[in-house]
Parts: sequence; C-alpha cells; structure tokens
Amino acid sequence: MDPALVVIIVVVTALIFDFTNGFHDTANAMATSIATGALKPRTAVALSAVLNLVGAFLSVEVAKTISGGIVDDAKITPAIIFGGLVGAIMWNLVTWYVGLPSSSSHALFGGLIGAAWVSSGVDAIHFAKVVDKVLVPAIVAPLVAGLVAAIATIVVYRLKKAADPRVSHTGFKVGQVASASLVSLAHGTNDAQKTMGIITLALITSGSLAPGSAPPTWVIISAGVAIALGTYLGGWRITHTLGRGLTTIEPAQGFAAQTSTATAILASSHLGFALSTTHVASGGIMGSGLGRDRRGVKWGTMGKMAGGWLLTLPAAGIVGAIAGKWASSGTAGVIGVAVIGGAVSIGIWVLSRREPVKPEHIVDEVAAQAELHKVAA
Amino acid sequence: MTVNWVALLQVFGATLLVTVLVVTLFVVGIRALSGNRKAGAYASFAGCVAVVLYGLSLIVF
Repeated sequence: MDPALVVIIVVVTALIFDFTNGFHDTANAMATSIATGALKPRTAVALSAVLNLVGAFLSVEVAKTISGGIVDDAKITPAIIFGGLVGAIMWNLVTWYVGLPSSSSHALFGGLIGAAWVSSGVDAIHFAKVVDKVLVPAIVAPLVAGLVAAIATIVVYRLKKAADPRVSHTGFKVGQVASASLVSLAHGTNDAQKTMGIITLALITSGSLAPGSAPPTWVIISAGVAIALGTYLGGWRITHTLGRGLTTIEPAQGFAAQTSTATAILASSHLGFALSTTHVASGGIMGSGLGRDRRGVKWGTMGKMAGGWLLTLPAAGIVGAIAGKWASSGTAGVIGVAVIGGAVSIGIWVLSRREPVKPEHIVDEVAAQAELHKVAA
Repeated sequence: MTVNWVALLQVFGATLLVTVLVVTLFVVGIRALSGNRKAGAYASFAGCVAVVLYGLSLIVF
C-alpha cells in the first residue's frame, strides 16, 4: 500500500482516538462543578472544550516524548503505528463498555509498544525512556497529586473555619470553577499532546519529517480541535445523567483537589512526562478525601482500581501487538485491521445503545470515586 | 536505565508550593471577604491569579 495513504489512515485514526479521549475525560474536570451547581452543564462543557483547545497550544513537550523517544523511529513503520492505535482504541472501547477503569493514555502507550515490539523486535523500544518518561511518572504523579491535595485540603479546612459559611460556600464554588478550568487546560497540555506525538511519529517514520522534529502547526491545530470536539460532545452525554448527589465532594474539597491535580499535570507536561490525567485526577480526589477524614477512604476499592490501572499497559500491548503485526504484513493487513477495528467499534456502539445507558458507562471513574469518600458532613 | 529523579522532585516541589500558595491565598481572601475587608480580599484573589499566570508563563515561554 502507498505509504502516504497509510500515513493518512494513521492521522485519521489518531484524531478519532483524540476525539474519544476528550469524549471520555470531560467528567474529570467538570463533574464536580456541575454536581455542586457551580456551573450550568452547557457552560461547563463549552468552557472545558475551549480550554482543552487552548491547552493543546501551550506546550509540545509531551508530544516530543512520544514522537522522539519511546520507540525507535528508524525501526518502525506507519503501519505498525496504525496497529498500535487500533489496539489502544479497541481496549478503550471494551473497557468503557464493561465499566472497567482504564486510562486512554496507557492504552495508547501499551498499543504502540506492543505493536513495535512484536513487529520490529525488542530493539525498537527504548525501555530506558519508557521507564523514565512514562512508567515512573505514572506511579509518582498520582501520588504527588494525592499527597499535595491532602495537605491543601487540611490547610483549606483549617483556615476556612473562621470564615462566614455563606461567603465561603459561594467563594469556593467560584474557586472550584477556576480550578476545574485549570484542570481542563492541563488536560489539553498533556492529552492532546499524545495524539500530536503519534501523528508526528507517523510522519517521521514515513520520511515526511526529520527525526526529532516538533509537531507541525496543522498537527497541533487538528489534535486540539479533535479533543475539544470530543470534550464538547461527550459532555452532552454526561449532563443527561449527572444528577445532584452523585458527587459527595464539597466545593472547598473539590477546589483543593483540582488545584493540586492541575498543578501536578502542568508541571509534568512541562517536563515532558506523558501521564494519565485520569490517574492524577483520581489521586487528587483520593488525597483530598484523606485530608478531610482519614477514615473516609476505602482502601480495598482503591486496590482493585490500581489493579485495573496496571492491567491496561500489557492488555492494550497485546491487542496492539496483534494488530500491528497484521497491519505491517501489507495492504491486506492494514485493511483487515481497519475492518475489524471498525466492526468492533460499531458493535460496541450498537450494544451500548441497545441497553439503557448506565451511569458507569458515562461518568468516568473519577466522578465515581467521589462515592468512596462519603464523609459525614 | 536512569530515572530522572530530580525532575520528579521538581514536579513534587512545584506542585506542593504552588498548590499550597494558591489555596492559602484563596482562603485568606474568603476570610477577608467574610470580615468585610474588601481590599484585603481582592489583594488575595489577585495574588492567586498572579501565581497561576506566572506558572502558565513558565510553561509557554
């Protein structure tokens, strides 16, 4: 198959992945603000979409990590990247359907690494870089966000005692909107970058760009627009089910959790750490729950969730490996992977429409986690 | 296999410093607002905005 055509297929697939990423992650930033009534759903979703778009333009460090580091661009082809992407999308859709917590980012890394490993050999993976820029930050960043959120929550609750409760309630609602906006912005600086990195990597492997290039402007714009569109449209589904009482987070707590989440993601993005924004947001919420009441955290549930997180990289890796091997075998392989990928996607979409929409399909794990901290007021 | 622990420590330090600074300024502002000290409140909120903008400028430039 014409290499240029494969690159076009990769670009389109990567943008679809980006769209689903935005679609899936809206609740991370805006769920608590909508639930506490700080923002109207329509406003919250539009704000989040715009800020994701802006965030996509702020930094390209994470994109560079993906396009110029974790795999050897001289040893892989656009077809392998395509296989990895399809693996990531499949894993994302299946976990979304069964309600298993999963990270789009880790699915993407897993798919790419699995596809490159099986198709081009173990030498094609820069494991040192994977450990340094992906694996270690994956563990450290949520812990950092959690620890800082716990400290911030303690500070906020100590200091706000002296304030007029009515003033502080309104005040923290405003603060929550501001911090949720920062989370959306941070999301753009990290998640939109992953798609840019993948597209840039495809362009480098096809010879259209020199190795080590930064993403071209059209790539930045299209990735930013795709994630913003996904965020906007995904939000509509969320607003239908997001009733009051879903979130037990108070505005002050949400403010502390989101501030630490946004800061941790932004600092990591600046240093090129490609992390799961979902995991960091979860860490922030758990930490703030811990800061409010040490007995409020259900460690067993947290353990189960951590298990789900660990599973994502290898599982998406296996799917990516199969898809990558097949796609790199030639034109028939690329078509085969595309057809099966499309069929599975449509199948899951049809299945998800047939049964009544369940909250666990829509509200992602971050919002659901607020349920773990039912702290007596 | 080298892990850049210094960079991770920077993420931790920056996150801790900025978050605690922003939430403290914000709560101080809310306390000033409930005590009807408008000037103090606005100064605190302006401080929050300044910290956030400074942080973003570090990333962009």
